[in-house]
Parts: sequence; structure tokens; C-alpha cells
Amino acid sequence: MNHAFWAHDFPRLYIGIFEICFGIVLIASPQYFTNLQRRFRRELKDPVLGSRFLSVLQRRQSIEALPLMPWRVMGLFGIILGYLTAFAFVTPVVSYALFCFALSALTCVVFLRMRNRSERRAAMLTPRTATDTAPWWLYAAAVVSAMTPLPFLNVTGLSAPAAVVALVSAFSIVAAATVNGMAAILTGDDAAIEAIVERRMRTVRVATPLILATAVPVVFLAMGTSFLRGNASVLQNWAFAVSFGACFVSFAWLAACIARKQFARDRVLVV
Amino acid sequence: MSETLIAVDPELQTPPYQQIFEQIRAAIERGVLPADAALPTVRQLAGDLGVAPNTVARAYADLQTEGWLVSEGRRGTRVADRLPANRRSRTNALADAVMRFVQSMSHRGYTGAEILEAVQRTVPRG
Repeated sequence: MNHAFWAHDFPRLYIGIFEICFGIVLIASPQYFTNLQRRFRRELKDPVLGSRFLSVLQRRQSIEALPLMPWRVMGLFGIILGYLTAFAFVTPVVSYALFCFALSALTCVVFLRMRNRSERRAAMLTPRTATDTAPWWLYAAAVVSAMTPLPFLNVTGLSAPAAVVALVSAFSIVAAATVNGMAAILTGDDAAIEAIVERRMRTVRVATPLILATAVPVVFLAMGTSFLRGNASVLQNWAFAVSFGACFVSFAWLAACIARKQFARDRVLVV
Repeated sequence: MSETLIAVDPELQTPPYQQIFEQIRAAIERGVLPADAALPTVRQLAGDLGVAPNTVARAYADLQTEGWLVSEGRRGTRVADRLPANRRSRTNALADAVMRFVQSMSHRGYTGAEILEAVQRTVPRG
């Protein structure tokens, strides 16, 4: 395959097919993104605590009552955008920026409207801080990452997508901080299990937009530097390297979190 | 790690600030909240419990007045190092808790005899 394919057709097809597939998944099974039980598969299989986890998760799911419709709308948007990208009506860079913007807006709409609507509410007597769920340097990596598209603002054809991607990244950081400060969803019926579920879900919901904030710019910068071929400036190349580093750091943190995830049963038995 | 949860029951006649006050005091008396343990901010606790910040602030203020908590500016609110002589408080706390329990059960339609019988069946003798 020649250079033109890799420079033009491959990003167009790759982004287009990715958006269509993501859209189909969102429409077919939006509950995959709202279902709490998939975060506690191991605990749910436990012969001693499984039923307690199931009961707490079901109760929490009904309190959160996350709507499925926004995910389906996002899915439809992804399919239309993917189609327009694959058939070259929209450039892959613009398509990617719009897709990220919609995904970020969806995350904010869904998570930030979540409230504890139960009649009986409980609270833990331990203070929460901004770094309970994610370390300060992950926020720093996300902030640095949000600034990396800025050197592309003066490139014709990339200026608007660069601005959108930077805004999406910044928006995601604000969303993560806001989710971190949201009220706990506890009823006090099973303190030990509810505390574990609360901590894990808060971590997941803060980490998701933070990682999105680092992952979104790196893909854009990869496409941007490829778009410029060998003509990218030193600053633009550095921006790409920094963005890649920030993304690597955030995924390394995520991998470390998964690796050391203590089996919840051990903690419950200590209580 | 032990999780100390407190709850506000809107069905009780006891005002929410009093419920918060009594549960925090009980947690300190039982040793669940050790000396110098940090407490959540007024805003955090109010948000979690779904009550007005003034409600939590009033409970914290009363606990500080009685010597259970100390406020240390930027360090926030903490359990006092030296707790008040608490024999009387323990007795009062138990009496208050029993009263709240009986009130709550009465609201749900149980008679005094039924509540007493259930308590006698549950509490170990000796």
C-alpha cells in the first residue's frame, strides 16, 4: 500500500469504523456502561458475601437510576459521524474532535445529574479529599495533556479541532473534580459493603474522565503530526511527546490500580 | 478499616441536628472515632446526609461546646484529645437511643408490649 493510503485513507477508515462500532455497542447494550455489577464480578461470586454485594448493588442501581437514552443518542451520533467520516464527508480530525466532545458531554450529563434520591441517607465519618480517588500527579498529567493541542491552533485545517480537543480535555478534568466532590450514595443498611462499593465507584467515575482527558489529545496529536508529515515544528513534536507521556502515565496508574485491587472480602472481614 | 456510618431518619421526631450530635457522640464514646480523628467537613457531611449545612454546623458546635470535638482552623474538626468525663453521658446516650428506638417502633404501629418482648428475646441475659 502506498503512502497516500496510510496518510489519508487509513485514518478516515479507522476513525469511521471505530465510531460506527462504538455507536452500535452503545445502542445495543447501553446498560453495559451503567451496570454496577460488572465492576464487582469477583465479589458477587463469593459464597459468603455475594448476596450482600448483590443486594447493595441493586439498591444503589435503583437509587442512581442512570438513564439509558443518552447513551443510545450518543450511539446514533457515533454511527452517523462514522458513516460521514468513512465516506470522506468529514475529515477524520474534525470527526474525532466532535466524537470526543459528544462523549465528554455525555459523561458529564449522566454522572453529574446523579444524586442520592433515597429517603434514608447515611454518611461516612471520614473526610474526603481531592486526592482520595486519584493522585495529584494524575490531575497534573491531565492538565498538561489538555494544553498539548494548543501548538496546532495556527495550523490550517487543524485549528478548530485543536481547540475542541483542548476544551474537551479541560472539560473532562473539571468533570472529574466535580464527580470527586459529589455526595456519597449510602443508605446505612450494610455499612461495610456500601463503603467498598462507594469507594470503588467514585474512583472509577473520577478516573474515567481523567484518563479521557489524557487519551483524547494523544490521538489528535498523532493525527495532527501525521497530517503535517515532516513539517511539524519542534514545539508540535514536543507537544506530541508530552501528550504521549501523560497518557502513558495515566494508563500505567490504571494498570497498577487493577493489579493491586484488594479483594473486597478481605476488607469486609476486617471490619 | 472500620467504617463508621451515621444516618438521619426523617421519620423520627428527634431533630436532624440532634440525631447527628448523638451518633457522633456515641461513636466517640464507643472508641470507634479515636482521639484526634479527623471528621468530614460540614459541607461534605451535609451533602452526604441531604441536610442543610447549618444542621451539621449546629451539631458540630454543640459537640465542641460539650468538649467532644475541637476545631483547628485549616486542620478541620477533630475529636478532642481529652474527652469529657463520660459516665453520665454514656447513660444518657443509652437512654436517648432507647427512647428514639421506642418512638420509631411506636410510629410503625408496634405496641409497648411487643417492643419489650422483642428486646427481651434479643438481649442476652447476664
